[in-house]
Amino acid sequence: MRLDEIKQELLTANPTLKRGSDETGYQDITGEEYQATIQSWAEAAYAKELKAQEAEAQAEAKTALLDRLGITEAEAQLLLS
Amino acid sequence: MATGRIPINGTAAIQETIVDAKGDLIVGTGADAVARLAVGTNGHTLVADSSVSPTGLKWAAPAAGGSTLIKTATFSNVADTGTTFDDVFSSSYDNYVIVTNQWFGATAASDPQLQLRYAGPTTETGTYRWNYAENNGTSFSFGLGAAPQSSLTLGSAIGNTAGFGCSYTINLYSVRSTGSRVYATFAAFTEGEMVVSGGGYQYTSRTYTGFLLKSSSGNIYGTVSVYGLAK
Repeated sequence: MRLDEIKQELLTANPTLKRGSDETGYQDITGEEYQATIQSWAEAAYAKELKAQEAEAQAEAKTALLDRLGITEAEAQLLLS
Repeated sequence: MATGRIPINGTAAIQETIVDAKGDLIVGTGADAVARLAVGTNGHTLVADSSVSPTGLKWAAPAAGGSTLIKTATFSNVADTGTTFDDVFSSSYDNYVIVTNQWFGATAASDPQLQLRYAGPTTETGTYRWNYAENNGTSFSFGLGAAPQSSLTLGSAIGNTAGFGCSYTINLYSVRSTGSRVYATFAAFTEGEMVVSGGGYQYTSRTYTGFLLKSSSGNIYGTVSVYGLAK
């Protein structure tokens, strides 16, 4: 998912934002601060998504390499030990 | 007693009239001399103090020890805890423990985060560094915020199920010292059978007065307590 798509999802899921607690009460987050919070959330979620994609690609590359060599992961670890 | 005396060793005696009220004590004040010591305030304990005349004893509040609960708060569906934990750090303590009871978020894979606050409502949004390890029983992963970060990140998965969030113990050291960093250590058991442990610091020296909790993405829920540790 692209950054702008994630942001749009967050905007739809959170038409309003608030902060606080039962003890101190709740305050609305509005205007520029609302936009900045959603933007920050979107960037953090996007970064996580990229990291997950990268990890998945690495895992696939590792599997492909092991297949090409005709050995298991345990055997590869044995070679490196 | 019929005689109005409390016999001692079958010969000497102390008059019952020496005591006036429940809890009064009879104490020695010197050789062959006694006096009444009135009961102290509820909760106080008896302390030896040779400077106190004539008994050499006084009632005093027990010395503070262990940890003291400063505040507990519950929050639901918030972007951050806002002013909830402002002014919980004071000169009474140098070190604090924050205990989160099932802190969870709207987005399971988002990061639980803490930011320090100072001068009441001002949030420190820079110069944090941190490092943590996570173990879910089958694999390890690591998180590192080596370059200055905007918050202290405490893990990678806050969880999103009520009753299965993350239960953290976060220790904060020297939070009010302007001469040192604020160090933090933390440990948690989180949703997904994940064990997290790590540490970090804030290297802008200030007299920090509170903190807020948030998630890297999405709203949060939970109940959190903060304790001061006796100096």
